[in-house]
Amino acid sequence: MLDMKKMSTQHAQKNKSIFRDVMRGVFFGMTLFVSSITLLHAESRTLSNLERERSSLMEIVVQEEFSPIERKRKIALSQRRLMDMERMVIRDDRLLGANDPMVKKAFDHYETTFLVHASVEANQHIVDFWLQQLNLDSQSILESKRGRR
Amino acid sequence: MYKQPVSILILLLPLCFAPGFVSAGNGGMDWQPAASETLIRMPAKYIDASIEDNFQKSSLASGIHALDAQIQLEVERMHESYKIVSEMENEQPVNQQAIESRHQFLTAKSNYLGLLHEKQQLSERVLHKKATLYQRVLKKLKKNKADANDPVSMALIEKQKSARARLQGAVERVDNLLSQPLTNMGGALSSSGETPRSTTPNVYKPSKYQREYGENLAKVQQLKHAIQQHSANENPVLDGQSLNREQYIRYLLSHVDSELALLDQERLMLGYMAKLVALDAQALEHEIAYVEPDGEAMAIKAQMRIANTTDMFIGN
Repeated sequence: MLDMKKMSTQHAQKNKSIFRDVMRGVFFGMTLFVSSITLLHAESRTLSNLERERSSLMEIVVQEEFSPIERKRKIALSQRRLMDMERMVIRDDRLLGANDPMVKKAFDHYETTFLVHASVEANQHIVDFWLQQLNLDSQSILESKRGRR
Repeated sequence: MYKQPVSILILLLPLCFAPGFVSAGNGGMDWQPAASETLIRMPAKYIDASIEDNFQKSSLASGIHALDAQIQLEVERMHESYKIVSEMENEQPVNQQAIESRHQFLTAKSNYLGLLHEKQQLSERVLHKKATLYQRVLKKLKKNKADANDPVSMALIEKQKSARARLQGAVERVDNLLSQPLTNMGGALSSSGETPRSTTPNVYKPSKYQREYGENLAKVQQLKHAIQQHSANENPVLDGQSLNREQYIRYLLSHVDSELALLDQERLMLGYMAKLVALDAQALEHEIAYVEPDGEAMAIKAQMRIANTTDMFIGN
């Protein structure tokens, strides 16, 4: 009887030990999982995506082969994508205080980085706003001459 | 008969405590902890548990466990020998069996001390590695803190916060404008004034990001709140005081130092115990050499007594 009791206690202790080991494994596994998610997130460069989309918008603006209507439509579509990306960048906590020249430059020039929001704020068309930020007006463009740099 | 082994025992005992003896036997036993990002980001109260878990998986921990098992066996052997020695202590005259059991007892004690010393050296290695690891973690935490307080970063954070606020102010206007059909969008703002003909569907479809962000945001806030409220995420409490990550690592470091100090004290005890074993062995050797009655010599001595030979001179 005593032996049976002892055996059952030993069995319970063994089970407890296994359970503890499993729980410990789960905890460390999950911690590692969370860290890997964080790292992945850190690697997803929201700012780079925004830069890419903005450069494609500029390409649309300067592309000669589009008709005015087509250009307008493409700009509008790009604007919507940019809007989302600008919000992704501004909400990206990984960029907070990030020691990266690209991040610093982006936030030093709010108007050109967050082009869609800044242009709406200024009540201007996105292309006009962009040209204004670069100090380019019709007069300076017309006065420009083609030549070797 | 016992003079030789006992002498060897005395000679071997100090040898067992030579540092080279142990390190030669520990080939392959190692533990290489790293101050990884995972460790630094972990809730403070689980840092030492994580380090301990990592250590338990190392070959060094297996070595220490194996030594523990050997020490346990040696303790049992020592108890058995001690029991036999105690039983034979009062027997007179001292017989071979009693000397044999005392010899075994001394051998068991010597083995026990040797194993204990080996374990102490391994434990010391573990503690030094832990101390180095805590120092590295502390250094990284300090670096992160310094980086966060760096004036350039602070200025950037300020800029980012004001940018957030500024953008937040324009969100509604942007949404209103961009939710218009593509044909109208930008038209009001265009300097040309012409209304372009539609080339795309007039129905505005918000993007997946726009649709799901708002829904997710509420859930994220709930999850954040749940994490903050979770007991496992609380800072460790020591003597009623809540410690932050850096303070807790400093506490762990001081704890390792105190363990090292105790190990030093135990080493001193071990030295004294070894000295006692050496003295016991020397005493046993002396006892065998000078106290044990030599039967043969006694017989020769008795034979040589004049009184025993006188009979041969009488009566002839």
